[in-house]
Amino acid sequence: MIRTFPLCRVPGTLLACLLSVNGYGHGETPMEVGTLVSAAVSVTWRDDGMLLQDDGRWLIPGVLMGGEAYPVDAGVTVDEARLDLAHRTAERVFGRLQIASHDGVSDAEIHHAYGGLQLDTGPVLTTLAAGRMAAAMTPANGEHASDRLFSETPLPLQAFLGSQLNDDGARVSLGLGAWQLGLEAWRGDRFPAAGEGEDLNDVYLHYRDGWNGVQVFAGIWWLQADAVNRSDTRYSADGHDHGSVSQSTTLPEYWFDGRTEIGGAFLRLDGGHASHWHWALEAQYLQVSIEGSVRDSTRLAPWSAEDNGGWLQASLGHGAHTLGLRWERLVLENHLSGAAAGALADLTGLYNPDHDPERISAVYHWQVQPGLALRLEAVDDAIQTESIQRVAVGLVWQAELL
Amino acid sequence: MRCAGALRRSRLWTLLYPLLCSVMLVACGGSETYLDDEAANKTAFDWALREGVPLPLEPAANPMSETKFQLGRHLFYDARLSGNGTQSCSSCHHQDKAFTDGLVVSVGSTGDSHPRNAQTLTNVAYNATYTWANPALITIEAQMHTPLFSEQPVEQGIDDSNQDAVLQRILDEPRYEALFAEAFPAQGSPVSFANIIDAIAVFVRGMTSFNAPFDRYQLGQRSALSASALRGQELFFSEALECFHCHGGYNFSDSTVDRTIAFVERPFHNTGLYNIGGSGDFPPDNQGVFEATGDPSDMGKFRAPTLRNITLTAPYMHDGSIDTLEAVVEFYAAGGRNVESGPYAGDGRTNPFKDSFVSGFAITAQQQADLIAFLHSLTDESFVTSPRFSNPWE
Amino acid sequence: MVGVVRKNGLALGVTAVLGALGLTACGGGGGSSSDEAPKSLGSTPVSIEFAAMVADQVLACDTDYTGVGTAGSMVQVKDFRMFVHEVELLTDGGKSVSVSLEDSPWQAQGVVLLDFEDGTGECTGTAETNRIITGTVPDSGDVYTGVRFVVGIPESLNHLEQASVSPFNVTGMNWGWTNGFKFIRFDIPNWNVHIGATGCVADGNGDVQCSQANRPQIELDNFDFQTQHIRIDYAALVQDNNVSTDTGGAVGCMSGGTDPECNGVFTQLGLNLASGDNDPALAQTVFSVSN
Repeated sequence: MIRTFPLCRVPGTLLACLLSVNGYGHGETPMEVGTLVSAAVSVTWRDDGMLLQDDGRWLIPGVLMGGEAYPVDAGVTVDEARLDLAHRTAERVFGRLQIASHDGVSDAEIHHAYGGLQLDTGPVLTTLAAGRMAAAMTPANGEHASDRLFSETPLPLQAFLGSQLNDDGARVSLGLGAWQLGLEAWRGDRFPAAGEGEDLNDVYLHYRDGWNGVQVFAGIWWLQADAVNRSDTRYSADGHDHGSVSQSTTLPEYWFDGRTEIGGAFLRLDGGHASHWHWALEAQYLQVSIEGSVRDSTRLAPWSAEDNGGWLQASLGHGAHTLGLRWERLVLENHLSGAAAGALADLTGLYNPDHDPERISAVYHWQVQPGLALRLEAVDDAIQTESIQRVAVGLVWQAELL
Repeated sequence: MRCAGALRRSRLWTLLYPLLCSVMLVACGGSETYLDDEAANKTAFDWALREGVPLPLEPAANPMSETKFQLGRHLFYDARLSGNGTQSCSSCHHQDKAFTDGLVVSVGSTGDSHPRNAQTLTNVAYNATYTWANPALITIEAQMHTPLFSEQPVEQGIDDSNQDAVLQRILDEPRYEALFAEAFPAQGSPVSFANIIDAIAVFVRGMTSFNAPFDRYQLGQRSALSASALRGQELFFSEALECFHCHGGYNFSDSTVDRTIAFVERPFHNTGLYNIGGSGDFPPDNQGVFEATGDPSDMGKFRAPTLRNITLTAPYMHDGSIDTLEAVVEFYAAGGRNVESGPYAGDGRTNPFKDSFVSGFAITAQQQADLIAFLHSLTDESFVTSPRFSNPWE
Repeated sequence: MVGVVRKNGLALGVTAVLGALGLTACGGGGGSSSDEAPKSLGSTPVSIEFAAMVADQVLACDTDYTGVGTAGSMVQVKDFRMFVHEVELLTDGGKSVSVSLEDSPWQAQGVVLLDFEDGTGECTGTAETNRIITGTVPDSGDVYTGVRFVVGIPESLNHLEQASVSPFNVTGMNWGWTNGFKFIRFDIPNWNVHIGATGCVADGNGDVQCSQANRPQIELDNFDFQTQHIRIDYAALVQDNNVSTDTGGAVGCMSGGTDPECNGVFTQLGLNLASGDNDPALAQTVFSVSN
């Protein structure tokens, strides 16, 4: 069983740690008895940010944006800052509290606040957890800049999960050998769901094992989300202030009602643990089906979408040095109908006649010391029809405080 | 392989296909957006709209046609269409003033003063309601009964006693025979008030104006707006000034309908022009929607007119009681008007029925100039000079 | 019937007995079944005549009337027209029978325009006049002893664009600001009575609905349409008003809910001014039966 943890505690396990950064995410069920307090900060300077709309919004053309899908900006940004407290008793009762800011947003929020227990039920290990958690259907969900090889959140997660699916809910998972079957039910007011008490559930099947020194982590998953009155809340916090003359242009308001279904699959391979050379491969794929309608204060258009997206990532390292490549792509097929189809497609950013948003990133990652890494990134960003290039220099600091 | 085409709702595919596609991501091309307006935007008429502006509604009983438009244009400019033969629609709707008359209040064919200021005909095809304050008038055809037949005040002054003579005058003008025959083919005697109303409605409905500097800027001509107008635009659309709440959208009025609109609103607003005796009252002949509904909360509510061509339509407000745009901006900055003396004395700023968006704001002289520069950018010179809307009798 | 005979002798017997009972019971009418009615019944022409009066004088243009209203004013008539619909005759048995109105320039879609002014003198309306409702009722042995009608145009027709259908195209009855019609137009110089539906608002679908119907329903007993007529008395209508002055709102009463002149006029029509509904507590005084 691979036990993962966001921090690299022992210098000797540096290599495994590096790979786990690329591998298993943070915020998983605490598996070691005792209490651990840890912190992580990722800071990055970029020579340029993502291309925005004239009104300042970041849209992926063809995607109904929402959740916490924020762009990266030029200059210095704190990609993530988090403080994590995890505890587990000998009786297999555990809890985790994590406060984090991410995606360059300065406000910290409670990212994890859950408790649970594990029950040894015959051959099956049953894990129950409830509270605020990142959904576990894919390890990529809830991984932040400090966890990933790359500082920027994968594009398909930005597009289809609003950067991350993190909600109040409950999880039951059944572990049998290398297999794990999980069921998660959420309160359902987070993207891609919206509205109190709407359906937001997912189910996953994961496989983790080692084959001839290669760690395999693979899974398939399915998620459904019902939304009522879902709006793009990313920019509304600073929007409606009736104060001084200096306020800038107001943003269009629109809403989505309907159902989103997402099927996903992933494969992560880590190899080379035994030597100084190490490598990792990752493939993630999401397929999205949306049925519903978009509307603004006066107009409505039935909307359906068949989207898919994914990324491929490969890295090769020697000692503390790792080189990585990531390639992400979205294919977005939208159908809008009714008299307002064209107007609402424009307003919502769903109009994308022929562009497949794409991004290619290269990284050099140097684990300078166990708690500190330097990364240099070069990104070819073709998310918009006009593509731009940027370079980034970042530091990732991680520490065990207790 | 085209992934999008192969995707259907099969759950089996949902499981298998991702693996295929993620391996072959490079081949999964083809983002597309399919728009099906379900024929809502079919029209036989050249509306001369710019990109981004939806088509207005077209009454099923009176579809647009160029022949009706041309007949309507002749009738619009024809003083024969009044009881005493002295006044046409164009008497109070001058093209060079964006089809207003420049007067505080208009004067009818028999000398009656109208209680209200003549409204622009700019883009009236998009009005959710017609006249200044009438929630029952939602077509130009229905509205036209008032200028033609109204008795209080008399406008064009057509009534039972003179209507036959009016029709006879139309019949006697030789140019009309062909115009009526082309506009209303296969009708034995097409010279009727029903057809006259339909034709003028088509002409007026066809008066679209979307060629102002603002529109050219929207279409990408960055030089179309001055730096001052751009600053003014930002002010206009700011939550501080709140202008856009009532004067928003492509027609700068919240009283706007078009073919794309599913949820129609027909709003009216009290802007705090009056507050006679502190009870919220407006002058007795000008009480807004209250006159139509009798609902006390409708006192002083009027339709927000379009701000397109607003620089040409002074004086302002339903009763023409504000002379200049500068004074209008000052009025809104003050959050209403305090009438200090006379029969209408009262502080409009505290009118109990005043719209919450008319809450006042602080504005510098430069900001005011910028805002007015932006309003100037809404003036469409081609609209007021176009031969298409001009007097065909000249 | 033939089918029934062939199939079932018992049914034949029952039908015959019921038929015989029906025949003997006939004469009073009222019980005839729906599929027999068209065969046996023709129609009886009905004409209901109206007379417009100012107290005991016949109303006409270019005539002086004295003692009108609370100030005893001297007046001339300027206009005197009204729409009527839902015309019914009432039987001595308490039944109501709808009168089908024949289409004519004065009558369409169940609505009739009554017009008592001829455009002479102070009058400004059309030269043609109409004092009669013409129609038919189904033949029966009914004895008609009363009449009922509603003043105005029904809501379903009040906001239609029918500019080429007479009498909906009569210019003077147009009430543009309500997107409808004046139901009653009784004008004297500087004192107008315009009764029509008010509070009219178009909803999102474009349907116009009026919150005040203002349609008086008039029921008159002891009325024989063959020998009697219905009086419309202007003096009764304005008996509580001073028609020489106007104290507020429109000149006279134009159905304004806050117009001081409307209280008296609405009361005499049996209408509640606030709601626009017929008020059972108010007895209308304008319409009466006359020989």
